[in-house]
Amino acid sequence: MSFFSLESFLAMMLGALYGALFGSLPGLTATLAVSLFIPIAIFLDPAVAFSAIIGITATAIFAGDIGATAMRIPGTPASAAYTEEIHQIGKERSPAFALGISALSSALGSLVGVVILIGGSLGLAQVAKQFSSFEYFWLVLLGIVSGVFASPSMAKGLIAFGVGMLIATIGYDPALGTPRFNFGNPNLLGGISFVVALIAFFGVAEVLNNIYSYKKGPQPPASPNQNRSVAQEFFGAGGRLVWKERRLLLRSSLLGTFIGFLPGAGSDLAAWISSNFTRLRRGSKEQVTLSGASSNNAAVAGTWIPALSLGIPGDTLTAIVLGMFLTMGITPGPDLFAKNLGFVVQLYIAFILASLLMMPLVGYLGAALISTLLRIPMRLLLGAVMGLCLVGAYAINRNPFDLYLLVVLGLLGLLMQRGGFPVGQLILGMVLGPLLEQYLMMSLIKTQWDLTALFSRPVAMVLAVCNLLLIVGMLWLRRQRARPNNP
Amino acid sequence: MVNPTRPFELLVCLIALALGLAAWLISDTFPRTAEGYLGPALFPKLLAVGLAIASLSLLYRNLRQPGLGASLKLLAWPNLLRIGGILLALALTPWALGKLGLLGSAGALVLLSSLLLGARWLEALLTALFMVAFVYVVFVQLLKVPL
Repeated sequence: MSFFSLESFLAMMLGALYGALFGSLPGLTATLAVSLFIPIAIFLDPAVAFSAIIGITATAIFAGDIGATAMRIPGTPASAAYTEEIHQIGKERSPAFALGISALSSALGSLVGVVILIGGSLGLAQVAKQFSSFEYFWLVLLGIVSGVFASPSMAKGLIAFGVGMLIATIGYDPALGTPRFNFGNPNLLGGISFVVALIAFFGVAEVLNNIYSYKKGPQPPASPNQNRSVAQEFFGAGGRLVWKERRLLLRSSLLGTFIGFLPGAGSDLAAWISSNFTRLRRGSKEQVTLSGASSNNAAVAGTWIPALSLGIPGDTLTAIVLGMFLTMGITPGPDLFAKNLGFVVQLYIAFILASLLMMPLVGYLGAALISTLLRIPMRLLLGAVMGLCLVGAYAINRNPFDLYLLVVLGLLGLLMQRGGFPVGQLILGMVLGPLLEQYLMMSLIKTQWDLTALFSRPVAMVLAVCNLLLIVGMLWLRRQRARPNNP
Repeated sequence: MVNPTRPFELLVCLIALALGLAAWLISDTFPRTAEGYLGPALFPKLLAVGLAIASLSLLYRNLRQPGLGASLKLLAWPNLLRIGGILLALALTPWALGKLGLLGSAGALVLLSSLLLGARWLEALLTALFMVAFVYVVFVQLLKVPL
């Protein structure tokens, strides 16, 4: 059966809706969506199964923005990079506008990623092969440095990163496997679940923050744009902004694709680095959202580059898909292009269809749904969010201990939010901390603890200089801005 | 100038400092590598130093400004009590799971949260019932997530 059959198109559409549901609900991830679909997929025709999988992956990452816009709970870790901004846009202007920016830039970002996937799978994969732990160390550090300077206060950014990275050290250490900071509690041996932390820091903390600001009396009136039609805000205003920022969109998409094809990096890292670069340049909320959304969706296509051309998965999602390929008797790698060229071409076209049709469609439906949801009074909506936080956190591991973590981390999230600390940087610390430690330790072990080895390879040296330039440049910029005649 | 974020900023700095100190001390107990290098303690110790420097600098800046007493008076104590109530309810959920199950516990939490947010009894009850039905239909029936 071909990818162009009615069955394949329907499978993609249903896959897109199924992925969107998973992506938008906290606690349910794109990986879980694909994992649960695999037992069904292996009984389907490969073209139908992969159409559905492409539909799921195309929308599940984007749909994380629906939860972020409506409730300030990112549905997927990739949306956490710009949750603050997209939620603010939704509140100040309209959710349809926020999701319009996100859906349209996600669609175009994904399209850029697919074009690069088609054009340069083999060539780009050769570059990724040159990266070792030394280069990855500097690349991850670049993400952290840009995140610290992207915070309004450097000290607060450092604290947020430090706390996030320290939380991530709980459990087995990534290089030597020594258990750390578990205090004899077996629940902490595997570390703190990232999704539970996301729900606590964004969901629970947001509800608590609303309770703290609660005043008796009528609610503040909605912004005037809340009354404009969803289509006007989503396609009209959202589309105009995306067109205006087309250069930023292209830059972020290229960066996202590049990060996506580095094995292990994935769409989360792409979104963080891209949106932090936009924050560093004092970009508006809309620009930060646009760069994060386009970058993480471009990265989804990027992760398929090493997966198809080398058989190396770029993230967990592609690892599952590669397993599917093998189960269906298709071996990914350079031979795939020689033996199954027709299949690969159809796969690419399915990607383009999913990007251009499914994301705007699912995004529009999401925007329409949120616009209805926001007519519900906040006192009821936030109560329901609290219930969803509980179910989402428990659904991950079905471990009651995670609910205690929800209390502790939710309270910490509230204190940080009220104190003006960037909670997003804490989450970024949780993502990047283990990677930074892993690459540092791997490099040190490989070179018998010789720190100078981190500068020994040309690409590593270039990345180290980029870090140094970023630090010096940002310190200089902050100094200039702090001068009294430079408000 | 009276700044309502100051008490929270101070508290987070103290928490970060305590976390850094604890990380430094606890990581002393981690085994070293065969060559005698720090091994698994290296990264937490680096983080502890970073946290201590950042939190001490922010603490110093915060405490040097006048008007901390006035900032403390701005704290919304009744709402802090409400938050305490919600967190207590959430902390009791693992116990409630055994008695009411996940759906019942989620419903009870929604009811309590809505009431603490100022909802009337009937609307809070309807929200809780809707939430339970939503979780059952979407998570259990549609997505087959075992709860």
